[in-house]
Parts: sequence; C-alpha cells; structure tokens
Amino acid sequence: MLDIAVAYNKYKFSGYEFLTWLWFKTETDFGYIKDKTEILEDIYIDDKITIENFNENSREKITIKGDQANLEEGIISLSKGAFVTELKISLRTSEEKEFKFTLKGESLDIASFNIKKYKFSDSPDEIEGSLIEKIYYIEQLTTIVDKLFQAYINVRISDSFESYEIVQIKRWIKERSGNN
Amino acid sequence: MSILSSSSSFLKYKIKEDLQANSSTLSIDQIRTSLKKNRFPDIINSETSEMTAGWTTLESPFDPDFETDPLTYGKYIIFSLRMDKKVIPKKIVEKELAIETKKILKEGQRDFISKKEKSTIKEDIILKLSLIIPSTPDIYNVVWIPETGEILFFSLSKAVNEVFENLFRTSFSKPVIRIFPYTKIFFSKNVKDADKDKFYNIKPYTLQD
Repeated sequence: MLDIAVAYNKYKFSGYEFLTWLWFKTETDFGYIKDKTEILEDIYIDDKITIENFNENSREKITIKGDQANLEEGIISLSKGAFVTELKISLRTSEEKEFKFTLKGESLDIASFNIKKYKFSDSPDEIEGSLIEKIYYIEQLTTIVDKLFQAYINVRISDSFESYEIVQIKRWIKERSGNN
Repeated sequence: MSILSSSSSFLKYKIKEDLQANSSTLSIDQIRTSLKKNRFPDIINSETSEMTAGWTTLESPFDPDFETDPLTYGKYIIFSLRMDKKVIPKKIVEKELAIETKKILKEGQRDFISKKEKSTIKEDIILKLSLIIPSTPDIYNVVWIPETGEILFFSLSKAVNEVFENLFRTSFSKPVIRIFPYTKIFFSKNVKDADKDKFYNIKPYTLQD
C-alpha cells in the first residue's frame, strides 16, 4: 500500500475524471447509472460546478453557479482540457427522498448533505431514532457514490475506454457547446 | 449537533486493525475507558495552550459524564471531538502593539524600535491577551460503525482531521485510514486484484482535441 499522502495526491485526478464522467453520464445515459445504483430514481447536476484546468504552467479554476443554461461555460472549459473538481448533485431515491450534496473530486468527501423537506429532531426522547435514521440516509448516499465510482473505474480500466468512452465524452462536449 | 443539522459535511475512515477482521475488536467498555482517559480536560492551561482537544459525549459536549452518558445508539457508537482554540483578533494585537510601541518610545525618549524588539513586544502582547481571551469551543461528531470497522467524521477541515487522526491513534492504539479514490479501490472487496492493478497504473487523459 502506498503512503497515504502520496496516494492522495497521485490519484486525485481519478476523482476529477469521475465527476466529469458523472456529469456526462447523467445527461446521456441515466439508465446506465440507475442500473448501477439500484435505489436511484433520478439524478441531476444541481446549480454549482467547480472546474479546474491543470495546465503545465498554470492552474485555472472557475466556479459556475446558476441554472442549467449557465453550465455551458463549464462545457466550454471541458473542451479546453479542464476537469470537474466539485459537483453539486441532486438525486431522488426509490424511497422518494431527495438528497442534495456537494461531491468533492479529489477526496470524494461529501459536503452540505441535505434531505429536502426533512428535519431531524434532537429532543432527548427522539434523539436515538433521529441519529439512526440520519446515518441510514448517509450510508445510502455513500453506497450510491461508491457504486458510481466503481462503475466509473470499471469503464476506466476497460480496453475500450480510449476508443469508445472518451470519444463519446468528446462528442457530448461538442454537441453541448453547439460545436458539432 | 452537526450530525443532525439540516446540512452535514463528512468523510469516512477505515480503522486499520479492522481492515482484515472487518469488525471492531474493542468492547464498548474498552472504548468508554479510552475515551474517558483522553477526554477533553476540565482545566485548560490558558498560558500555554493555543489549542486543546479531547473526547466528549454527544449529548453533553460541555459537561460529559463518561460513566453514564450514552455512547451506543442502535448499532453505532457515537461521541464527539471537542477542540478549543484561542483566536486572538489581529486588530486587537495591532492596536496593543501601537500603544505599547508609542509608550516605549516616549518613556525612553527614543525615535526607533528595532524589528527584533518589536517582535518581542508582539509576543508579550499575544501572551497577555491569551490569558484573558477565552478559547472558542468546537464540537465534531464521530460515528463508529463496529460491524464494518468504519468511522464517519463530521468535519472536512484538514487541521481538524489531523487532530482527530492523532487523538484516535493515541486513544485506541489503532490508526485510521482516510477513504478517498485510491483507498476506496484498495480496500474494495468488489474489485478484483487484477483490476486494482489496472487502476494503479492509469494515467490522466485529456479531453482537449
């Protein structure tokens, strides 16, 4: 096993690639994503994306906030070689719960996890139930993220990654940016 | 408590000794004893401590009783890390430094203070202020999942994560390993060894034509 700090830095690019692929996949092949996660009913990119371009000489970072239309700027950045480093995601589970959260690319940590129209009581009588319920939803979310990341890695290490998947991602970028 | 707030941020750790066993090898009594031994101190040495950290309980973070406060909630063991930090506002230091410098110049009938002398004065001011300014407490929840040997920790701050990792190792003689892309694959039971090797060898690609 590699040293943890070395491994963190060496493979953080795989997290950026994963978020970029996830954006592509949610827009082009939701059926594939649904199959991989089992409990997912819907998923879409919410109103915030952070994109970074790691050039040899400089590092450019842009954060886009707003509705779907404004994500066009992000698509153009991808065409210039940038990758997604943070993604705000909304999803709906088969239990009809709506999760909103930010997924960090380099660590796959989860920030600002929120369940729509849901409040957990911290009154002494209800605290145990609330904790168990909240952790249940957290585990549900981390399982979804783990399955999606593993699905990406399976695609990433496949023989057809360069000849098929990258070609498809580039085509999506061209179509989305109106440059086809 | 951050775990039940409407917006939570968290990361996952794997407990090293539990990587093979896949379950916690410590009893709840041992965990309770270790937490108590490394609890947040009742008295802080305000003269020397810029930061103080220790364990506390979930429901009584500022007045814990490790003998009676609950630690188990269903199948989970939940407690908290308390970190108290001295935050001395920069502007107060600047103000005190200006007053003190003026006083020294006037009393000594001087018109110059060296950089080294100014630095010593500043250190004295910070020490004096640290005795009167109370520490700011922060509480970070910890969820230990014994059946998987995993921990959910409710802070993404690098500094706080380091304090947690060190205190956990000291308290339980077990290091925790943070879960991120590499460790996710390394520890995965659903990825074959041959596929793990392929992952270790991937190189970044570009989407630029």
